[in-house]
Amino acid sequence: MTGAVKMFRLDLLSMQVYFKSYLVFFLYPLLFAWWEPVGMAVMAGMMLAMLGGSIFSVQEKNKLERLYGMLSISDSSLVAGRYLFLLANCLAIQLVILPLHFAVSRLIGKTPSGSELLFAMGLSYFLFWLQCSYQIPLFIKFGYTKMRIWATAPFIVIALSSVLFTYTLGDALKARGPYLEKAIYYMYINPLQPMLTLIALGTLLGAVSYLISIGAYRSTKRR
Amino acid sequence: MSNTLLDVRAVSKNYGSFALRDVSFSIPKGYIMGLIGPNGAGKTTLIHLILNLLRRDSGEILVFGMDNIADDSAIKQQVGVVFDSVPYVEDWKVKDVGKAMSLFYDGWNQSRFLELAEKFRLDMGKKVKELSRGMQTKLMLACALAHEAKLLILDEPTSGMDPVARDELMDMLRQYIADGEKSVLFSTHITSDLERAADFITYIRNGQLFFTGPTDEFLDEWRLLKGGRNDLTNELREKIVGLREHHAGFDGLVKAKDFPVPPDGCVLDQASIEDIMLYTAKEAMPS
Repeated sequence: MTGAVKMFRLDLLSMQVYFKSYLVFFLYPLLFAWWEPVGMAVMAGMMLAMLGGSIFSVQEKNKLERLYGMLSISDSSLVAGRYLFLLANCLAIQLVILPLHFAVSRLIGKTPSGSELLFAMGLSYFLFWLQCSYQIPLFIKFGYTKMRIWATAPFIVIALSSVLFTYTLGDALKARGPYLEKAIYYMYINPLQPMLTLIALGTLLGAVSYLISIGAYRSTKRR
Repeated sequence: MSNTLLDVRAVSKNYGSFALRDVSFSIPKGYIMGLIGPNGAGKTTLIHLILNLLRRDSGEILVFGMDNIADDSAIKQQVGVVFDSVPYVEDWKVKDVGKAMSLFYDGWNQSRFLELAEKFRLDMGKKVKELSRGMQTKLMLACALAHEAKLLILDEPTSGMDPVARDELMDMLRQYIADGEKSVLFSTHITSDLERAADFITYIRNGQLFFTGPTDEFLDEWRLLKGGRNDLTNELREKIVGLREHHAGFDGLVKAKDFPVPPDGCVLDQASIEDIMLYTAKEAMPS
């Protein structure tokens, strides 16, 4: 674990010079906040995951594999440190998004409920790891430049499928309206359950992705 | 710990288009070994294998008597590396590099790093990308020396450096091994750097070991034979490595043991490391 923490600190140090440009990206989710505060959390999760890939961009630009190769750190600690860095990013954005969510909701005349906030948090966390779990092993195995277009796939799939879902299943959804209302009502009266489920699912995705990434990192040495 | 700091045993790595085959050599404590060979000979591949940046297909690499894969972390605590270009974030300041390195080395000595930075005239507030090529090498060297590395591995550190900076580096390396406990593996194709500093030479050609041993032995093994056009007999032709014919005559490399005295009309000169590398590389090239 010590090695992972060292790697996490190295990643922080590597990204500190890009911190300002990093912050600008955080403003994007705010645009969605005017449309729907939960949308802001969703966008934040996805955007941040996309942005999480920028550590790989910095690594590739500066050929940092050589730095990692000369340091006293195991392969698994190196990969674990990278995931720790992403997790810290995710938690940091939650701290920013929650008060923002509250503030924006008030500005547009809504009173956000606790359950809405919890749901937004869980959803943001889950989407963050959904994106990360897919893209990180790809970046490790094939590099950032080769994979940056492919890394956007989940983002595009979610966006397209939500549109298609609405168009093709819109009527069916209306017919199921009472069931959906019940489901939403259930979430409101049991806010912790959906949030914890989303967090558990996100963490599981992250853990599986971590194991795949270790294998991917080791395989780069066999090339 | 034995007297050998680095022991490379029959190491092979196949890329398909290029293969490093059965390379073996070792570096005893207190010496500098020059790793030479033309571009693409496999020097960097070999260094990457030693550093466990690449996995070997076969063979064994022992550093301080430990396997370089199984004991990777323990080994790297005592290995300093200087690459041909800086492996740091180019927007880092010199002080950030020190901060980053200090995270990973138990033996990191910050005051030693500051002392070396001052000695090398490295401005702590300057960004890595703003440093000249020579200063970047000095920064890597400062990092390597600040964690009390016992083995220094340098991969083409002098390429792009001016002669004065190269000379300074050679002096530093000699000082570094002076206590007899440390060693240096120095990969370069600028062989003049090695003439005065390297105690041992390992020469790799087309991915295969051509020579490994003391520099004196390497130099004593070969002579440069020069003669006029009419002096080049068929018997001589067969014995000359990398024969070069020109309007005035010929020159080429010969084994010293084959020519205790120069043939009639010819001159035998001492060959430099560069001569040996040039002529033997020429011989290995497809005609």
